[in-house]
Amino acid sequence: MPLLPVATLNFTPLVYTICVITIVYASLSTLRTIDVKELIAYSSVAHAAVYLLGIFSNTIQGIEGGILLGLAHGLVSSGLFICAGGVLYDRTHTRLITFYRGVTQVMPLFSLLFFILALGNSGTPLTVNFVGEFLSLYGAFERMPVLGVLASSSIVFSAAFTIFMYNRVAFGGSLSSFFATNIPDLNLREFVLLSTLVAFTVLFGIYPAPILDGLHYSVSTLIFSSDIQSLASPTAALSSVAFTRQHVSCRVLFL
Amino acid sequence: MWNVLGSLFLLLAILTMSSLMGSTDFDALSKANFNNVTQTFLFAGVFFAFAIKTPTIFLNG
Repeated sequence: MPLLPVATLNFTPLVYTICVITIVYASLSTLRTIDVKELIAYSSVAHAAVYLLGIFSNTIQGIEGGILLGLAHGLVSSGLFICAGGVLYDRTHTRLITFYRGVTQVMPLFSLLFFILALGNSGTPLTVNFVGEFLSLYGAFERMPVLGVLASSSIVFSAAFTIFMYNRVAFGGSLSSFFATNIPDLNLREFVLLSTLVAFTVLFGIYPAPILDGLHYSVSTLIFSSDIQSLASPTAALSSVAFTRQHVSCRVLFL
Repeated sequence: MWNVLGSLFLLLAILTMSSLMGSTDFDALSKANFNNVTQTFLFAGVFFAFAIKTPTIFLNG
């Protein structure tokens, strides 16, 4: 948004309102889905609105969080789609949550990786989604506190629908009684695919600095390149400077 | 189809910027100083496209 600074600032309230309504509406419609794949797709919509909030927050933290959440969501969402479409649908030929139960008993390895990805989707600490979502919502809160608080409902909602899905799929009885033949656990190909995504999610969730360090310089120049932005929201710009100072790698900017 | 309609506005906005600035290079464009009315229209075009792509409410196909 360095191309159109004035219009961006003027339109921010509109964009924020649209995003917050999107978060709540998309989350509520996600809660009432019974199709695994549909649930993951709708949760993507809710998360997309969160990183849109981050990008429009006009703070370093918000923009970096938006980018990071986009990256994290790419990892976790594709992992969950592999779980739902590539593994579960391949085994059972149904995608309805109502038909699943007790997958943990027959596919322990799958359930483990699926669980970590589900935690990632609900933005639990130690996953990169948490870092991204927290920074995005922090930026949004700094820009517009009331809408930021309302947007934070996405944390509760995403936890609700993700845990709902995982609970119904993984626990609650025995699946094997519905099948004449046994369902195999993950094969090597699926395991390698999923564990790669899980490894990156958790690794960058514990230590996101490599990504953030790469972003600091570009995001700082993005924000501080035009004078109009620091004039329009001096408090936001000042606190961004204070935040950036904490990062050793960014000290060079102020020398 | 709805996505294509949204992208049309993005294309129009980019074409406007390129005809005003003579380039679509991002670094060159970030030096631009469009006046407020132009910015408003360009932003409306770009945001309309991205709001459909995201998708956000009211613009979900």
